[in-house]
Amino acid sequence: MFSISVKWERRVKIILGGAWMLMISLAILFPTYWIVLTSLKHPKEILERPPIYFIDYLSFHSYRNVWNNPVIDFPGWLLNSFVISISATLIATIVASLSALAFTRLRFPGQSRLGVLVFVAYLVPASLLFIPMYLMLAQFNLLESKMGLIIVYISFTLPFIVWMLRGYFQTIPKDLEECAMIDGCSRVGAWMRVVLPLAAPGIAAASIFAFTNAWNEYLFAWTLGGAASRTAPVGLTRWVFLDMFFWGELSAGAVFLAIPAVLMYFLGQRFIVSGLTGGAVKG
Amino acid sequence: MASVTYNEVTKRFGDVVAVNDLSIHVEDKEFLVLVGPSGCGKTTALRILAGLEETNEGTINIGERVVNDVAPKDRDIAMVFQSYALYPHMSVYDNMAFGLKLRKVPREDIATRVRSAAEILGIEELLERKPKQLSGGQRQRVAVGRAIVRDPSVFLFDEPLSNLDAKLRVQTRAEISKLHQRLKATFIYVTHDQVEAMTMATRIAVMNFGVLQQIDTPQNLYDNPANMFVAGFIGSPSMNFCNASLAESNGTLTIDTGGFSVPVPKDREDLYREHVDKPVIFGIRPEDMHDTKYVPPGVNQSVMQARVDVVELMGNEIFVYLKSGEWEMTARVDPRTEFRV
Repeated sequence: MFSISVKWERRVKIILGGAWMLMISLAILFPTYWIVLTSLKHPKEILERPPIYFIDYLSFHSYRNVWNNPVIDFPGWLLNSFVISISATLIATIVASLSALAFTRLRFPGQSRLGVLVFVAYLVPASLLFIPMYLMLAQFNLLESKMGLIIVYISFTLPFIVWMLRGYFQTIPKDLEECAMIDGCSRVGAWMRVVLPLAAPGIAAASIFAFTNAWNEYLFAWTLGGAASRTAPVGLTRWVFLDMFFWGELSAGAVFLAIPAVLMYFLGQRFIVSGLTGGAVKG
Repeated sequence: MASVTYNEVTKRFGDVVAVNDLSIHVEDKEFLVLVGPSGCGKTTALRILAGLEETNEGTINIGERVVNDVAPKDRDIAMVFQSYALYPHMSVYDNMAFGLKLRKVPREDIATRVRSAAEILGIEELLERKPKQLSGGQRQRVAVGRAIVRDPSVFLFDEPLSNLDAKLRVQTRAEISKLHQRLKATFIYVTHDQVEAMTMATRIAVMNFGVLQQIDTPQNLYDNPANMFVAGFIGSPSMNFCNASLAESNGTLTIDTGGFSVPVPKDREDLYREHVDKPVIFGIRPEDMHDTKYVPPGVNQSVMQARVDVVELMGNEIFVYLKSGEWEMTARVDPRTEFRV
């Protein structure tokens, strides 16, 4: 028989746990590090063998080339991405808040079935909807337009954020609203003055989710978009000419693309955590 | 200030009849308590008055005005919720000022009214705090304060004390009674606690299964319950019941339970005579049973024998659980009483 003391058992647990965390962190962080590194390398260093893991001087050549390029209008596409993502986010959040309120606060026939249907809609894989979406947009002459993409993104994010906000609104006691209605609010007034301020963390989380969804989307932007509505993720592929990969520019573009999403999550992480768990635990 | 009238009000939720043909007239400045077990429709009745539920049938009047189609905010009422329903994102001051701000009351007036209500309730030093920084008792006061500043014609209370601990509940009970005397407004108060009802009400309305059982002053309810439900509901511990028969011999009426028999008091004989030789239910309140040594003066005595099952010493009194034949009953007796268990 061999036994170890409680003290040692604790130490071993910490060491093993730490090693495991380190491995996972490396697996997640290394690709990010590699992209940032590549974007800051001089073009000559990028394909060097053996690979260079640390650089001792920063080259902004790739960034300059991405930002100021006579042929490839990356800033314009970034702007497209912003316009499309922000419009989709705003509309989806407003619509989702109202429908989540209706689901939690109003009584109407078929309420629970409709709620399940919304969730089922979320479970349908986006790629299945690809052909019907294409046909519908073609029908309304919205192919290759920003409006077309905005509508598509709203239709994809809506089910999930309705579901998420529904859970959040359920944690806000109905008494508060009723009390506000006795205090002097109309039903809509009670929502605006009492329910929405309390739901702000949930709504913030939902809108961050909607934004990143639209911001990172590639497949639909590539197939349904056109020159006027080209988004940055699609535009980025312009640095692939046949079998030539401009790794520096691709990486710099990816960094540009990541910044808004990272910033949003960084600023909103408080909301995201409370928003996603808001439906689960009553506090 | 205003009276309140429920006129043949019925409310159904699907197949469930929550309130069934309710008619009550509450006088101006009255303190009416709606009491009954959970699910008896008392809260629904209150919510109908507040405008939070619609009626299926019948009308509601506040004062002269029929309010069925009037929005809650225009009914000139204030309500204290069981959960207190304080707005978590507002300070105590803003919670209390909320209704006044919505009604465009001038800022200085709001400040004066909030401060004077805070003073009445002893919460002046809490005005800047957020609800989550308050204890249960303090929250309850803020909720009452929020109702007071509005100066409504009718105050509605939905089990406001049930989240407080026992000691605080007794204290707050007295404060709400005081508040009623001071504000001289109509109070309608819902509770499942008959002690609250007895101690505070001008009149009590007892409800069960959505139906009004009896409405009367606390003392009359206690002395002359209209039916077995009211008799059993009002009073604690509740009244003892046993099946019995009513017999007449030589002109005197006797109730016979099989285990013991009790003569009917002379002044009640005429009332009961029509039930002679029929099965009846005999009810006796625990506080009306005494040890023969400690019978208060003026009591019309009759003696019964019973076996003592369990004894609960309360200090100022004793609860005795008795068995006589097949009947089990509770007696609430003088603390000097001696037993053999």
